[in-house]
Amino acid sequence: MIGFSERPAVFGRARHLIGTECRPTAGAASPDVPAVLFVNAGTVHRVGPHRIYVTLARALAEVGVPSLRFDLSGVGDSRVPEQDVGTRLEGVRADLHESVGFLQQRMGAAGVLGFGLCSGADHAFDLALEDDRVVGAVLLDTNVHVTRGYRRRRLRAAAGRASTWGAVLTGRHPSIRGLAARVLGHTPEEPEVVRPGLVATELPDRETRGGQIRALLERGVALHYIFTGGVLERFNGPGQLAEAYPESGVDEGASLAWLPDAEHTFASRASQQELVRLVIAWTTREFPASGAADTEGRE
Amino acid sequence: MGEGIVLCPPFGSEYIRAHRALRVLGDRLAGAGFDVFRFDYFGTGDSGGTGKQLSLGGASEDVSAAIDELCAIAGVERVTVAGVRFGALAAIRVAPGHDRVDRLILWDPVDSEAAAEAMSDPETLDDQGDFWHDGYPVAASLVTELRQFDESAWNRTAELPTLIVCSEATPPERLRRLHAGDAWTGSWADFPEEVSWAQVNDLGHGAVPVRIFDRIVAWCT
Repeated sequence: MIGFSERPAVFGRARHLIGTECRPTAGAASPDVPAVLFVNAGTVHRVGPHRIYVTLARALAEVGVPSLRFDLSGVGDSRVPEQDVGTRLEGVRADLHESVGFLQQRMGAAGVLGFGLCSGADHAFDLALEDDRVVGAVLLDTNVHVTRGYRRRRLRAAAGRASTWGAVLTGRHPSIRGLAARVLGHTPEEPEVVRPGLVATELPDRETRGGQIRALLERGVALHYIFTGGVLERFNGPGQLAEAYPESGVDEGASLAWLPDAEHTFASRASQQELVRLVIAWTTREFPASGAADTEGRE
Repeated sequence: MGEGIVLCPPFGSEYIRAHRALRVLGDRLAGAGFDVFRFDYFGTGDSGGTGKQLSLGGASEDVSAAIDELCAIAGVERVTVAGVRFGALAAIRVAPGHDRVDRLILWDPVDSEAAAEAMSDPETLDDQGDFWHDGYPVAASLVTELRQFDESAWNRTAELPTLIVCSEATPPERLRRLHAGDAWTGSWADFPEEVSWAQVNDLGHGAVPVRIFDRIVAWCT
């Protein structure tokens, strides 16, 4: 263990972004090792759900990897700049590019590794596409297309549950209700969920997303997908990525970990420990340190 | 010399949900002319330490340090301490008797006995004898501190002008007793079910209860 230090960061086009740098103790980092950029998970501020971003940042620093946890504008402690005239999504994209620049300037890192959970993973993916300084991404429960294989697995799992058959026989099962609504010409009502502060990106069509993954892999961007059992509504098996994007090369070019017992927000002790283990193992394997260097960065 | 306000947050998932609310409340209070200080207890948020290192005694010392820091940075001489949930317990321990503190705000103080009970599920014990609750490690010593939380501390709120904000459908028994007692001289603001501290499925739920902010800002000014 080599220790770490933390300090607050204020940066951005309007000095509107608030974050926390975490770096290995002086002399412990390698210039070959990227700095990790933690992107907000939804509206949860920069400590992450159950403080998991703090735990991860410190664990990464302990193995020589510096990082920045920060709040996108409108989330946590960061405000929306008054001069911003574009959409909120454009503002968030600008925040992300600025944070990459800040991170490289502060840490003197060769590249940046995006890290995000849920909408944060989607932002990290888009950032990798748009910014050549990004050399990798760890994507937790990112958006993904459902496939025939997904539906097959879901059906198989549902068929094994007595409650499913009870719901089918009494007409309460969603598929029966959906069928009835279509026959009757009704549109089933979806509950509206409003999350103030959340700026989400949209999943493009399947072909486009496959092309984006292929482009990243061809550029040499290291991708690590982690899916939990907390998003069974969109992902239910380790083969789904390759099923969804067969031409992308994701099957051989990216890493994937499937944690069916873990919660979406890593609430249990076991899932947090497993996540830290996976992230440290993947990062140190993909980006091995070649030698010690000054970690103080450029002021 | 101006007036300052120290905001003492909850911990655990309640803190995650309250973070945005406290930021907005801080902005509102600053807009009303107060110097406002927010911080994380040791073992929580951005502060050093692991979750297991959070203690009520330590959090109380952190509140004290926050008061000193605010006075030093902003040059204020009088401070209102506002505690939310767990933060209210830390605030109660510090504010009465502190020479810089002249007002106290308690927003849905946790029922310390009920909290201790909820946090100490023996099935979550690890090999060091500590618990796991709602996604966070909980030191056995914190549970003990909560169980031993001094009842008389509640009565000491009579030493200061105090506002209690209650947004729970059923306020803790000891809070109701305090309110109904002869010694009660403070203000009580009811906002039933304005905030759902027990919401577990959406960490972003919630969270900017404007009517409560209006009441707090009005009381402070």
